[in-house]
Amino acid sequence: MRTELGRLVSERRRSLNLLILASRALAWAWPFGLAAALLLALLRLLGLIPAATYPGLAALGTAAAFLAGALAGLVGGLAGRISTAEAARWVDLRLGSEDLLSAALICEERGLAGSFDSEIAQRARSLLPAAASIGLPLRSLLLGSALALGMLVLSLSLALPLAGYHPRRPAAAIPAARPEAAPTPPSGTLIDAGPLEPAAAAALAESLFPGDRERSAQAERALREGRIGAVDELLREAEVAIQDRIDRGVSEPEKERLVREQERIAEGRRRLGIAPQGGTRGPLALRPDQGQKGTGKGEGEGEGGQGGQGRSRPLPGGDEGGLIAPRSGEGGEGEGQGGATPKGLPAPDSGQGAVPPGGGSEGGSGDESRGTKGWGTGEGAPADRGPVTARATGPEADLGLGAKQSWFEFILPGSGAAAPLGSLLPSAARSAEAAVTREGLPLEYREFIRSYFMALSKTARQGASK
Amino acid sequence: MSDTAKVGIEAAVEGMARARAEIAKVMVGQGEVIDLALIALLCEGHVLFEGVPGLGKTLLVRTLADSLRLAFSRVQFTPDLMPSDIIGATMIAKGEGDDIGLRFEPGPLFANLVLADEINRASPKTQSALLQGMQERAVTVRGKSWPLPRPFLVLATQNPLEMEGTYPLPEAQIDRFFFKILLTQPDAAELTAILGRTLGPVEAVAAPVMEGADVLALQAATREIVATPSLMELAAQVVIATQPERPEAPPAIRKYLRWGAGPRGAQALVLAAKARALLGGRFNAGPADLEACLLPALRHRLALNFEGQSEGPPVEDLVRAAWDQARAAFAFDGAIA
Repeated sequence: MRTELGRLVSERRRSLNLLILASRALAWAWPFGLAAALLLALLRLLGLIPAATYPGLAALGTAAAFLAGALAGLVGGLAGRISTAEAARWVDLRLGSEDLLSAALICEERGLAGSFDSEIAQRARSLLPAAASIGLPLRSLLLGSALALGMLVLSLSLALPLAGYHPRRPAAAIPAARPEAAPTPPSGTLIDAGPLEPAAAAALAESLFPGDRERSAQAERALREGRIGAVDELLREAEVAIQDRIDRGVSEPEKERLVREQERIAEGRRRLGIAPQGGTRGPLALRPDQGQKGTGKGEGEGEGGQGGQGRSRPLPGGDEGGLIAPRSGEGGEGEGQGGATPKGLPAPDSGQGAVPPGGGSEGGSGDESRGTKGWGTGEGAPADRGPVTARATGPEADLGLGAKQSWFEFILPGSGAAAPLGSLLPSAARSAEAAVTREGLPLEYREFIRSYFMALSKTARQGASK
Repeated sequence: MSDTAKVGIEAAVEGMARARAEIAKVMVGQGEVIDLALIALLCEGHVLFEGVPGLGKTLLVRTLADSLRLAFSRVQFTPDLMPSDIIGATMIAKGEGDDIGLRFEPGPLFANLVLADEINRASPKTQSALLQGMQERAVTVRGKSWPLPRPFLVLATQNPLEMEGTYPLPEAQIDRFFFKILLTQPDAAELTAILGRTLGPVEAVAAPVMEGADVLALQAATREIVATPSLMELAAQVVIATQPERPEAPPAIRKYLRWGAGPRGAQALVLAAKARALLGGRFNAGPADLEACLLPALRHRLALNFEGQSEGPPVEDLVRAAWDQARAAFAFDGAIA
């Protein structure tokens, strides 16, 4: 017949065993889940898991590993269950009763046959109320639960943002992370098709870079691995190189050939589903709804281009429309006086995005860039209102606009010497390219800097033709 | 055990407490030493006291004998002491009437409490004779076995200084001592009290509070004290952890010990824990009892190797390391610890 002490100890034993099971399950679950999340993320980074299947696989795999770990912990917990004697010892330890309850349990089990068994049992009974009031050690369980929950959240938060991640593609291009719907690439494009077959990749790479073995090989490898961003990068490099050659001045037939090359690259982009020239899904791209209209006051009467988001830099011509559109930040409303300036800065693209991160000087036909107007200026003929300078990056880079100076001249401060901007831009662009490569800037910033020089080049060309 | 016997036990436990108080009247300080000596008495285990001269070793033993009304004898061990000097000898003696014959004359070993002073000064032959009596509680003379009186307790002393010309006890014989108790110098307050008690006109004397039969009853009761299987397992784990060849042994023990405690050590540990519980008025032993008896029960059973003797930590530290190791191995699952 079970005594009161026996019942109490049995209840304690059950509770403690449940606690052990739960704690073991939690202790084993989160390392499994975390390991699975890390493994899946690694596989994704290596390109072994397609972007399309990754989010579901990451969530499912992490959860499954978590459950598997919990199951393993339960099995381990079953092996680590405590006996009734151990439960009595646990209570003794908590009470500081020097094994009295354990001894009493033994005495009761042997029918109080020992010399002092009755005394021991009697003394143990007096401890029963205190023993019953001992709480279970839930602290470790709660800590374990919190740890497991935290690790599960960490695992999922580690895994899911990587969905669609591509090493060479800006993070903002991740479909799951975009706040708005991703633009649909042109039909028949490859941008989301995943890795290509080797033969198809080789053929496409060859068609993209017919005379460039090195880029062709790189593009083929990237296409096989499904890294469209890398191909895009190669196309841009080729584009910059072509533009550079054109800017340096080439013969008319050569120029026509280079223009055809540019068209071929544009065609390649279209086939790949990449928006032309910086108008892709770059993080710096401006969305139409983010643009703020700047108002251009002045003789031009023109409506200022839409100010971009972010801090706007003062530009020649007094226009303060957003020149550069960082990823976030409030853009100042442009209130330029470009038109009123005697030699104010004419709108480089008259409402077109002059700064490619948002839309690209090439027309901004890219996804989010569509509609971005970059830094706007007032339209109209430049009026002489005296020199207005805007410091872009430092004292050496002042663009001065004086009454006798063309906007397309680069004035060294203090010296007064002028040189056509168009002749300086190629070398400046090359220097910038070398610098951003050397300094290991993040991809999006490199894009931005390139786009800036592309925009300047185009503006310079247009100005020169006028 | 009948109720009457239980009442007797309770009275005997009270008597033991009174005996302790009586001893404390004579002995200043050394409370732990007195407790351990009483524990050894309840376990009928022999004790090896180690301490520099003048710490009251002889006084303690004599006072213990006085308070418990036990027969006491003292043997001063010297290099020329012969076995017959402690066991006794057969001699020609005149019996009743005109009969003249060989008669066994018991030596000082035939007493309840035997103080073997400076045991390491006697030759190994004499030491062996004493240790045989300690182990078998009987002596054999001319083929006849003579049982020693009960309770029988040898309280040997050993001087850690002046090792010149001594015969250190072999480890196998040291193992037969239940406890090895170290006596330390009294502090200033105790020393002042000693001066007050010993230099006055009246010498403090312990009054007898118990009989030898009470001690025997308590010794029997000690073995009735309940020690749970988990407690005995803990004691076993401690002893195992002192054995350097075991993988469970802590690194320090593996490094510095030649050998560790054996079954006698485990027996002494648990029995001493039981006696301590009884002296505390409890009928079951607990881990605290085990821990309190750890050092006296095990310190003399651990043999340092050469490295341990030259640079190792004190044996006491190694015993504590073994205890910590055993406790850790005995701990509950982290979830409920």
